[in-house]
Amino acid sequence: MGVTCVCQVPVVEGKSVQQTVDLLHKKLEQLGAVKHGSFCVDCETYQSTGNAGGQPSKLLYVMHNSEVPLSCMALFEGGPCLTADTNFDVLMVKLKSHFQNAKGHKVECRGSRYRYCDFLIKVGTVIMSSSARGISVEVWSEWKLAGNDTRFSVFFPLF
Amino acid sequence: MSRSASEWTSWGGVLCFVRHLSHITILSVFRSIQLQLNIGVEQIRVVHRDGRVVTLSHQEQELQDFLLSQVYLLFLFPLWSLDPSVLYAASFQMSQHQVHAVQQLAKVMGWHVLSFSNHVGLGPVESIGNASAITVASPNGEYLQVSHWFPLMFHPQTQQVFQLISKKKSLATAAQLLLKGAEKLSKSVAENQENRRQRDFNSELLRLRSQWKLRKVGDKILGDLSYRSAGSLFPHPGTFEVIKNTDIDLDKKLPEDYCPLDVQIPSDLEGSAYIKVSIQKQAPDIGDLGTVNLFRRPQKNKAAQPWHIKLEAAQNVLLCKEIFAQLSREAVQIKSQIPHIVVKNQIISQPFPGLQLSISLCHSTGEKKSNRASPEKPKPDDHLHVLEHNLHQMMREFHKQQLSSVVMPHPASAPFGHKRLRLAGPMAYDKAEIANLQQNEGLLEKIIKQKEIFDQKELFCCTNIDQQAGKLAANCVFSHAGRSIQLQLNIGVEQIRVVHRDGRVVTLSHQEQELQDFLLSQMSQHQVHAVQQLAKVMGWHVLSFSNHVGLGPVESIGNASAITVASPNGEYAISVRNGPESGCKVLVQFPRSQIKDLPKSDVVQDTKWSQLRGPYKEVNWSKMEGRNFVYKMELLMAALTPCP
Repeated sequence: MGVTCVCQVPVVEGKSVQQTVDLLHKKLEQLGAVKHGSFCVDCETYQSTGNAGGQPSKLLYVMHNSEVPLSCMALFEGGPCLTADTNFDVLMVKLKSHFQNAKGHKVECRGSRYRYCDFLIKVGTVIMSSSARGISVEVWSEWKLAGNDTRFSVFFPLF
Repeated sequence: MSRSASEWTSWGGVLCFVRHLSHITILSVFRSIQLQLNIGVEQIRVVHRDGRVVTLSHQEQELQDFLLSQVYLLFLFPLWSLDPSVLYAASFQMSQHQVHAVQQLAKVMGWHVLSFSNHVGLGPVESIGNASAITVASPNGEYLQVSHWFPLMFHPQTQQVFQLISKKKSLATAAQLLLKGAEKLSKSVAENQENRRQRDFNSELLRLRSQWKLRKVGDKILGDLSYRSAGSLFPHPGTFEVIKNTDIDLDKKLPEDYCPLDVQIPSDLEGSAYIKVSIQKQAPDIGDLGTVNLFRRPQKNKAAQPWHIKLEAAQNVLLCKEIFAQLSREAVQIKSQIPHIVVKNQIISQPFPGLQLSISLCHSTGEKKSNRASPEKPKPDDHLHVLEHNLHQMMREFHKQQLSSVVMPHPASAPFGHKRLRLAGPMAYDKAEIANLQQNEGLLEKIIKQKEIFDQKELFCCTNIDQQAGKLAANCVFSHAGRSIQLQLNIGVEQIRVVHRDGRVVTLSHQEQELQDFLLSQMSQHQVHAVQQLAKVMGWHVLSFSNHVGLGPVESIGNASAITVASPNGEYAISVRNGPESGCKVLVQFPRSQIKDLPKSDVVQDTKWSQLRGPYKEVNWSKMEGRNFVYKMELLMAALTPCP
């Protein structure tokens, strides 16, 4: 199962997003991590149609993660969430009449994976409508730490 | 008194007789009933054979009564008491008139006339007149036949004869009917057999259907010769069409291999194919790639083959195509340490340097071979049949796995694969878990791991070692004590693992140079060990021993080892430094007393110090006598041990 920690890394002043990401990569490689491929996490937004009255329509978020390539996660705003097969996307196409795809609101996080002993570090650029918005770093460990505080202090010097 | 003829004839045959004949001799059947009728003017005198004489008047009634009373009728006899073997004939001359008379008599006596004819065609032709015949039957069922020229046959078996004849006739009729029927039946059976031998279309179709899958589409009969139903995922449809062979002249004699049913197979599955797996020691020319189309089996005329041979050959072609497609797909997609080249109909890979594995699909369509020449004649032992068979088996394994309970039955939306993979989505399986479930090894990797390859590799390795042994023959170690290096080589797919006798495990890549270097370093170490053993045997003391000395020139392969041994009395010492590259260096330490030009020192005055060992002198090892290192060393030790 493991523990995952996701945090946002502020862009270094005077540098672009890409340069900051490269900086992070360099630091990781100096630490001794090994590049282990790439990853991609994305989230699509669907708006439910046909609501009664002046209530704002509820949003449905459909997410994909390359770590679980055959799955598809769906989250209904303030409501239930589910994990399904990739056929769920096909289902959403069939439910076009009830859920409209807000194409402009698709958010993606792409980057490379680094493996450092038992840790898996993913440095990704957050992209929305083909413009980089920020940097997010995900650290995953196989081992669950004893305390509730799951901050990895060893990585703070990176940021 | 004489009556007129006409009067007498009305009375019956007897009187007619009487008129014509003076006396009549009548024979009975079993005894002679003789009546002599003497016809006088006024009376008739009947003389019996017994001698009785009866005189009758000319009243016809009287005579009749008398005869009746006597129970002698001229032509009557108790037939039932007759002896069948006895035949009596009475000779009568009867004319037509007489026959009529018999007729009338029969009427009188109550006999039935069966047949009467005035003109009988049978018998000898009479010049006087036509013959006449009459057959009369008594009420009791006796028969009598009278005819002109026949001697009267008083046949005792007449009744049975007639029965026999009639039975014979009826039997003959019945037999004829039966024979006719049997003839018809045998004819129809022969016809059936003839039909069966000719194998009509429907029975052939039935035989085809018992072995292959057929379905009717419109008015065409289509069949499936692919392995789809056996679990294959190859996209080729593999449909063949069944056609009726009607272009045959029924009048002419049918040819031996005539079959009313013919199959039409898809054009790309025609001919025959096989997968050729071969291993070559040396890398062939790059230009030779892609021209492998060597076919070892002669091709029969495809038109003359019966349908089952055609279908089986087409199915084999399809399987070979599937195997080759799978192998080439894996060769391109799967990333492995060994590079694969896919050229046209050949896959080439190098599992081991210097060793080349080539898998090619050889498909001959049975047409005339093109004039394109193949680079070399096919070597008969080039093709590894075992590996080809293994490929076929593995493909069939793969098919079976598709149909296993782990995969089947599956919903239409599920992808092909393990059942548990369907849970991968909802359970959010990560890549490691998915890889566990999926098939790890492809066909290509499997085939490369086959035992044959191992054998080849080992063979190659052994030849390599032999070569090395030959190279290092001069430094070969023959231990005096009979010990030798023991190394166990485990040859794997991508690496070689060497296990030393003392438990050290070294993993080497498949580069031959590495192995060579390793063996060299081992040998140099072993020589030094040998000196140690020898010292034990000879009684010399080991002063120091090191497997990896830090002094002296740095070796590029491994490390140099060194040993120092002292003689039993301590006078001499031998130092050996052996390195894989630097070779062997032997130094001998002499006692100070033996060195002549030793510098005199003021500090060391005592003579006892001259017993200590002093400077070293190098031994010209190459000039040393001895077959090999150990012998040389032994000789040296022996020379430095003075005799007591």
